[in-house]
Amino acid sequence: MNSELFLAALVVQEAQMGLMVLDPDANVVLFNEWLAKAAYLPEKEALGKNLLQLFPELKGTRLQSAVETSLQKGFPSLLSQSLNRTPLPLFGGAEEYNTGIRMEQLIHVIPLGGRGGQQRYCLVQIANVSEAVRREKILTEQAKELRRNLITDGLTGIYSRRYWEEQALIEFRKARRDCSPVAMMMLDVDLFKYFNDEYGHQEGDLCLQRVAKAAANELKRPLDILARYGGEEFVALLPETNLEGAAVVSERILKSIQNLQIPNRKSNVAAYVTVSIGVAFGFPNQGDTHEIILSEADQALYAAKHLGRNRVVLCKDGIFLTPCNTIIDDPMPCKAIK
Amino acid sequence: MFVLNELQQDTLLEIFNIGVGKAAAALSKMTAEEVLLSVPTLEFLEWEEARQHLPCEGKIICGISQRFEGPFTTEAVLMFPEDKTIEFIRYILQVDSLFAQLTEMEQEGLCEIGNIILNACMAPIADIFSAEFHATMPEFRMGTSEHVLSFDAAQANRVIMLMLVKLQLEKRETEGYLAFLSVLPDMQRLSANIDRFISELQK
Repeated sequence: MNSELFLAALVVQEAQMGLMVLDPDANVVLFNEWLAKAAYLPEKEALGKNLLQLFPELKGTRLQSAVETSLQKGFPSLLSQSLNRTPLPLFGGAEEYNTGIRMEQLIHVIPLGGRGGQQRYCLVQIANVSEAVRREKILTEQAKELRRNLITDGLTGIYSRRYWEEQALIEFRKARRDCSPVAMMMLDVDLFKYFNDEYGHQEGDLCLQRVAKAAANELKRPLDILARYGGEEFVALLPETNLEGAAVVSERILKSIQNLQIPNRKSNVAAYVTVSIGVAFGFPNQGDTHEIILSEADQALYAAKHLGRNRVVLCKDGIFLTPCNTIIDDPMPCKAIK
Repeated sequence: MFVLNELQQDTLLEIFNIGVGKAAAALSKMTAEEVLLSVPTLEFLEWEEARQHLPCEGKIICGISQRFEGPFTTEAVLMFPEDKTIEFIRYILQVDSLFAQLTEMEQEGLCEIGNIILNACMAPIADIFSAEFHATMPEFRMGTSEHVLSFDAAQANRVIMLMLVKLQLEKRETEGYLAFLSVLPDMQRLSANIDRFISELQK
């Protein structure tokens, strides 16, 4: 029997996962070597202490609740990494400890004993799943990359409308949770029909490619998405961006396309290809849907056309403004010929 | 055919709703979203009958099961249709995964949600019995209802207590089923203990 107990004790100490046993009052009675190393806490400092005394941050958490369920009801609990991430302050090594990066944890809380009047204890078993999480992230990123290759617009190489619509749903959901603003832009190449008629469709395609590239270059953040919405129409989604931020970006895009200096003899706006841009923003958590913001950006675009093209118009609370905050008097411009 | 009378059914539903209310509060806290859970109906089916009328029949479902042993022994299985489950768990986890099937991490997350709900439903039953239960860790299963409920001929004398579970998260709603699989004597013990519980309440 003694040799069996000795062997069991060795197993506990050598196990490649954290093992902590709590008594009926949630005081630590076993704290194995793996756990002591990961917590940077010697075993003798942990033994005898209450769980909340040892880890005060656990108060009110799922782990504390799971321990109580285990000790009081005898029911086991699973704490997944996906819902809990890093409940305990455990670290994979010295570098992680110094930078405060905790290991991702999968925790099982298992009642021990408690039958036939026996006292009930609780085993908290912790596995380090950081590597599994990392692998899953890599696979997900690779899948996304593959998919991105499938969802770009064939002509311009920027995102397709379909991808834009899918991402918009995701970004709006995030923005609702984070209470952050989302801005949208609608861009349209001015008098593109005349350009095509004058220079031919091949030149027209080249023009769209150059315009798309110039616009995409001005969207500096990985979150921002530019997509081809229709023939010569583009749309941009700027998460975590208010109107001022979007105005700055749109002005940059306007200038960069002007600087391309693509000749357009048939334009009565300028000697070269220009765009008109409508910008709007909203707070999804306050009821501003994707459709509402896009519609406002579209209306702002029409206002820009109406005012002479080759400009940015912003829509704020139903009022149209120029980027230097000048209110545009005609609030309901008629739809101009693009 | 095993049945509970109306008072027993109402009492049991009331008890389950208190239990799932606590589970909903726990899930709300974890997800920072308002989660609403309710158990509006329950019925009893015999094994063979259940086989003919399985919930989500023919569809692929995701199930989380735990076995509870004590004065009343049961295998409790929480089941949701696969497509709704995937959408639901990804919403909770805030992931925009492209995979058609649940990843390992997502399965574990779902397992935990099932564990919270199953523990919350069984806790009041343990109270009714004023007894100790031993329970297994939650297990994730996916397949048809037959597979998830582990039907086999050896369990032919079982009764299934089937409850509809409504789960609401923000504007999303999904419906699942909670099945308790027990032998007839255990269900009869449950019935007797509910009566005892009711008479104690009436004192």
